[in-house]
Amino acid sequence: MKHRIELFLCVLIGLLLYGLNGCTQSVPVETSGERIVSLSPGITATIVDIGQGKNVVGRSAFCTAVDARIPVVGDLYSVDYERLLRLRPTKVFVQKTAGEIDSHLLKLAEEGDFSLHAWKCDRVGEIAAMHDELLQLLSVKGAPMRITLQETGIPLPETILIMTPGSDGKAGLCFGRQTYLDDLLDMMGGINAIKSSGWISLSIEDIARLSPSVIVVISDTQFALSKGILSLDIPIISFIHPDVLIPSSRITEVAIALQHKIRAQ
Amino acid sequence: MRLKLSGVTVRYGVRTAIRSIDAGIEGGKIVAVLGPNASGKTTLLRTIAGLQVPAAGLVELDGANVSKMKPHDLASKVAWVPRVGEVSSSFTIRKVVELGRYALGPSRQRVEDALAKVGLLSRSDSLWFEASAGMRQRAGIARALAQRTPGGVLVLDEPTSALDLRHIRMVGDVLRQCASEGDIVIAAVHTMAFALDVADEVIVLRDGQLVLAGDSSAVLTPSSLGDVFGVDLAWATDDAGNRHLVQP
Amino acid sequence: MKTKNIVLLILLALLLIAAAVFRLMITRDVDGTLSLAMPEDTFLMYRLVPLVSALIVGSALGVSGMGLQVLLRNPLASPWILGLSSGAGLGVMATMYFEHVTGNGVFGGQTLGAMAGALLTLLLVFGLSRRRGGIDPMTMVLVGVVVSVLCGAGIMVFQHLVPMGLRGSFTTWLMGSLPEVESWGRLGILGAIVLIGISLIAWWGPTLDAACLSDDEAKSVGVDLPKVRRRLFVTSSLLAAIGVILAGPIAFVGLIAPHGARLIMRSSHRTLSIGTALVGALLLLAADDIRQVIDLGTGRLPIGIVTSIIGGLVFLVLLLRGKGRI
Repeated sequence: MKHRIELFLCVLIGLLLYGLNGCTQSVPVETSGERIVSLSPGITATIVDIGQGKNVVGRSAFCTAVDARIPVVGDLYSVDYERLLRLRPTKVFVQKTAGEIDSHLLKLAEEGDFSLHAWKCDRVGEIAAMHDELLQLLSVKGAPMRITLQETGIPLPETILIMTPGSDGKAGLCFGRQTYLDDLLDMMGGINAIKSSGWISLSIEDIARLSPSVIVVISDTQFALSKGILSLDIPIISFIHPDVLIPSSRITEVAIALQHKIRAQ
Repeated sequence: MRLKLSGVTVRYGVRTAIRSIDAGIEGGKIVAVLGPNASGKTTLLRTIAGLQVPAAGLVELDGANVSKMKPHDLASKVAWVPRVGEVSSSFTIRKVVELGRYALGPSRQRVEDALAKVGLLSRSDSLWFEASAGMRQRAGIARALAQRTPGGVLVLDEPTSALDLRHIRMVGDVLRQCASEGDIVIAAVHTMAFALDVADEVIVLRDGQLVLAGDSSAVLTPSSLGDVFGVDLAWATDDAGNRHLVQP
Repeated sequence: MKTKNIVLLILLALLLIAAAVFRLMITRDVDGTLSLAMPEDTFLMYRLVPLVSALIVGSALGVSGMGLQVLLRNPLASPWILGLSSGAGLGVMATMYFEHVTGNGVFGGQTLGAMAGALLTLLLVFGLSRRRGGIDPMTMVLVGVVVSVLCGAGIMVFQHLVPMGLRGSFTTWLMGSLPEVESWGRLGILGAIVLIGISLIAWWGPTLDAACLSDDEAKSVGVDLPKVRRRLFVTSSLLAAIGVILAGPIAFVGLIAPHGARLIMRSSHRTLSIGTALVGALLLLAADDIRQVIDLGTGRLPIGIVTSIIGGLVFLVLLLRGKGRI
C-alpha cells in the first residue's frame, strides 16, 4: 500500500511534467531587421503601436500586446540570460523602476551582444519620450506622441480620485501625483484629490475624509465594485479600457476615452 | 569508592526540594531511596549523579566534588538511569545502549553483555520508538551497564516502575552483581518488596529531608515506614517464609 | 561505517551526478523544444553557476536543518525556524529602502544587507534563548517564532514605504532563486565554508547522537551540552545564512533533506550528515532540473515554488510511510 502511493505520485508527477512541457510551445520569430527583446509591457505595447511588433522576438510574461507564443525571457526583476542570448537580440528594452538595471544585462550590452535601452514610464512625459526615442531607434517614420484633448466647455468635478477596484470591504490602489493618470487628469483640467506622489493604499475612512467629488475606478477587465467604496456617499464612475493600466503610447486613446467618460457623467 | 553527601540542599526557585542531606556510602553497597511522592528522591539522585548543582553543600566521590567534574570524567565514574528515557531520533535499542560508551570509547563486547543482562539481546534491532515502556526502561539500564566502570557509581530512578515480575527479579540480580564488583548502587524505589529483597541500606526522605537511614532490616519496619507514608503497615509471611510489608 | 550505508551514499552521489549532467545538458530552444546536448561556451556559465550554487545551497540548507533538528529536538525544525529568512529579508528590504531614499547604492548591496539581517537575527535569537549559561531548545523555538514575526512586520513597514517597483523586486527575492551569474571566487569561498561546516557537523556525529537523549541522559553519558549546543547553533546558522545570501529563502530543503536521508539510511549522525548533504543538494538540483523542463508560458517557475511542491509531496510520503511519525 505504502509503495503504491509513492508509485502513484511518481506517475502523476511524470504526467504533469509531460503535460506542462507540452502546454506552451514557443514560436520562433524570423525577422530580417531588428530583433527586439522587451521586458516591459508598456514598451512592448508601444513597439506594437508604432508597427514594429513583428520584430519582437522575446518578451516578459506580462507583455500581452504580442503573440503569447513569443518566448518569455524574464521580467522587470529577473532575466533568463541564456534564453535571451539564444534569441540573438539586437536591442533589449527595459523599464527603469525604482531599483537598478540588472548589472549582468548592462555587462552583456557593454560587451556588444546587443544595445540596451531603459526608460522610466511613470509620467506621460516619460512615456512620450520613450515613444519618440523608439521611433528613432527603430527608424520608424512617425509623429511624436501627443495627447490632444478637446475643450468641451463642460466643467470637471472639483476633485477626482482615481483608483483600481478593491475587494470586499477594501479600497484598491489610488493614483497620486506624478503618475501618468494624474498627468492625464491635469491635462483634462481636473484636480487629483490625492496630494502625495505615487501609488497609494488608502482606507475607506481616508477616502471619506478626502471627500473627492467623484471616484473613478479603472480596470482593464470587468469588475465588481467593492462594498467599501459603494458604502461611501460619493458618485462613482467605472472605467474599463484594455490599456489603462499599461504605461504605453496607447494612453493617448485612454485619455480621450477617460475624458469622455468623466464628462458624460 | 566512597560517596559522601555533606549538607546537600537543592532549590528550584523559591522552593527547597531537599535540605541539608548528610550521608556516606561505601562501595559494594546497594542503597534504596524511599519516600512519598515529591519527597525529593529524584532530586537527590540527580544531585548525586552530577546532573543538579546543589545550592549548598557538597557531593564528593573519593574527595572530588561531583559538581565540578568535567563531563567525560563524571561519565567514567557515574552512570545514570532515568525513570523515563527520551530519544529524539529513530535509533535502535542497540544504538541507544551504545550511546553509554560515548565518553569511554566503543566496545561491542560491553554493549552485548549489557543487552544480554537485561534480556534485550534478541530485540536489540527494534526501534526505540516502537519499544514498550518496559523495553525502554531495560534499555536505559543496559546503557548504564555498558557505561559503568566497575567500582563506580550506578544511580537509578525507579528502575522497575515499568517492569513485570520476571524482569524486576532480573534487575535485582544485575544490581547485586554490580555491587559485588565494588559499585555503589543507589536506586529510588516505590516497592518495599524490592527494597527488602535487594537493598543493604535504606535512605528515607520526607518533604525534602532525610528522616531515616541505616540498614534495611532496621529501617524497613511497619512502625517507622508507617509514620513516613502515613499508612498502616504490617508484616506478612508468604509460603516460602519470606516476610513482606503490606497494608492490612 | 556500514557497507550498506557506503553503498547508499555512493548511489546518492551517482544520482547527484546524473542530476548535474542533466542540468548541464538540458536545453530549451527558442521554439520551446527540449533537447539534451552540451551547451555552447557562451551559455556554459549560465548552467554551471546555478549548478554549483545548487550543490552549495542544497547541502548547506540540508545539514543546517539536520543540526537544528538535533539542537532543538524538533523534527519540524528548519533553518527558517530561527527567523533567519525573515531577518535576511528585513536586511534586503532595508537596503532597498535606503538605496531608494538616498539615491545611492549601499556598500555590498543586497547581499550584505541579507547577511547583516541574518546575523543580527541570529545574535538576537541566541541571546534571548540562553538560560543559566546554556541554550534552552524550547525557548529558542519560541524566540525564533517571535523574532520571525517581528522581522516580518519590519519587512511590511519597509514595503509600505517603498515604491511599487521595489515591492515587486522584493517579492521576487522572497521566492528564492539560484544565481546565474556569480564570481567563481565568491562561490569558491562560500563553498569552502560550507564544506568546512558540513565536515565539522559530520565530525561531531557521535556527539549529535548522544545529544538526542534527554538532557539528563546526555549529560550523564558525558556530553557537554552547553558547548555542543553553542557549536551546533553557530555552525547550523552559518550554513543557513550562506544559503540565504546566495539564493534567498528557498523553502523546504532544510526541513525535508534530513528526513529524506533518515528514510534512506538509518544511521548515526556522522553518516547521516553526509547523506543529508547529498540529499539536500539533490533536492535543489532536481528542482532546478524540473524548472528547466516546465514552461507555463510565463518563463521558468521560481525555484521556491518547485521545492515547496516537491517538499510537500515528499513530506506526505514520509508521513504515510512513518504512520504519522517522522
